[in-house]
Amino acid sequence: MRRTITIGLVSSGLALMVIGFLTAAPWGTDSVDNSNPVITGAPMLFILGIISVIAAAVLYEVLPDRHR
Amino acid sequence: MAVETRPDVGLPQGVGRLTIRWKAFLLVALAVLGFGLFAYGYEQANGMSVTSLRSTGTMGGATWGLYIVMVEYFIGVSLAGVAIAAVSRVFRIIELRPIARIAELLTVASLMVGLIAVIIDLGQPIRGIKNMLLYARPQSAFFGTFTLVAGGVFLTALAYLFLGGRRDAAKLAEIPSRLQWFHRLWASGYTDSAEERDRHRRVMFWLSVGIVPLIVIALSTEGLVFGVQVGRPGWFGSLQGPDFLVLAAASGLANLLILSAIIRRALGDWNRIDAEVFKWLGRFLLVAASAALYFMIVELFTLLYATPSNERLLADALLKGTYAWIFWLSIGLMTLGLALLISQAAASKWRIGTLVVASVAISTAAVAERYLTVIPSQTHANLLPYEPGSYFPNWVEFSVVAGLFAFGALLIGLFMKAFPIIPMTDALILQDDGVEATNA
Repeated sequence: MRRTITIGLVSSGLALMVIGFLTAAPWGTDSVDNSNPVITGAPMLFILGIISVIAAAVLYEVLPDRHR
Repeated sequence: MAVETRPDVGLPQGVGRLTIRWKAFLLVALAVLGFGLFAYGYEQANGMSVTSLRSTGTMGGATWGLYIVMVEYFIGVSLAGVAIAAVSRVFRIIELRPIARIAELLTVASLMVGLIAVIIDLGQPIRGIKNMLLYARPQSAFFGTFTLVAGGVFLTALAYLFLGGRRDAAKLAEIPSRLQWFHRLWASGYTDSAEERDRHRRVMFWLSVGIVPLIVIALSTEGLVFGVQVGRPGWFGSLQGPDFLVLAAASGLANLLILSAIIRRALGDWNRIDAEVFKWLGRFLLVAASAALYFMIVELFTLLYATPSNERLLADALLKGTYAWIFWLSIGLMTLGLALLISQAAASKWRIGTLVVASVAISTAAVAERYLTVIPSQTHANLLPYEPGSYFPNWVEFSVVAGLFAFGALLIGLFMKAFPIIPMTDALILQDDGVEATNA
């Protein structure tokens, strides 16, 4: 359980960081008028990804053992 | 009064005991913070025109002033703190373990203060934060700075501090005190079993391995905020990233050394920071300060050979113009700090008092160097034909910055009254043996 949650959080965190990074860039736009990120709020996704990865480390250690 | 403090007698390192000295510190820090808040309130009520900040070029001023100088300084200090904590774990430098928590706390406090300084610099803080979260672009160095520094390093340092303190918290939670609830909460069920210790070692190792590259990237992007600005002579250049990294290491180590010396003195009989710690910090500081001075000289040398008029104007302003006294002060202080460190290394005697003097000199030189990085390029290096401008912070900016320092000091001071600043396994053994804590 501990391992599943940790791997899940790390994977989803890394995925969020990649998605956030890529969608924060104004791909395919060619003028200043269209310079917003592809997804508004994409930088937030990147930060959520970082939080998710660090939370994984904390949860890995803090989650109680099953036999308790 | 005696009845109130009685339940906390069993806590080590003066935790929970409010001495007269500590109350005096609290009072002074709150007064300075209060005045800083007043100055910020005045700035918010009347607009940023009450500061010395003005537009570059047309108004002959600087839009980034003392606040941004302090952002760069505090972020530099913070990253060195957690780097020392990480390096001591990865390379198993046991001598540095006693100050690992101080380093982590220094990181958390400096980062909080540095990030508040960014917010203070924004005329419309809420709008700035909202727009950054919605529209920041990864092509901008600010993206890396805010996401990696604000998000990554700050949270990792908090995780470090929290996880590293659980064992101590669990031990403290067994002692009846007014802070028992807090220690239980921090321990979050820690029982010190073999599995938990093993897990803790693994997590801390991987956090340490992860944070070192994060710090390098974060500080490099901090430097790139200036280094990629093509239209600003004095900023544009490939050395800004490494220069920020090196100066951050020097100023961070200097501050860690000063803080460790203060805490060593404050803890009195509870002190576990021995001379070996300062020896290590002195050696690290010697390397970092040497590299910082090297970068200062290389950058100046490059600037002196610049042919375009704007670079030459900037070099003149630094060497013999408006900023000359700050420039020579920074060079002088850095050289003094370095000379003191070299003399100690040569004699193989690391005196704490001398190390503190060297650290104060290096830390002050770092503030001056950050000032020279941020300000002169705005007032004296315009590519458009504007006359050279001027900037010097006024009472509002100085008061706000003093408030920031007081806030950082308060964070550290309050922490010390709620939790042992030095990992306390040894301290508790002493206590178990019946050694009474008599110090504040």
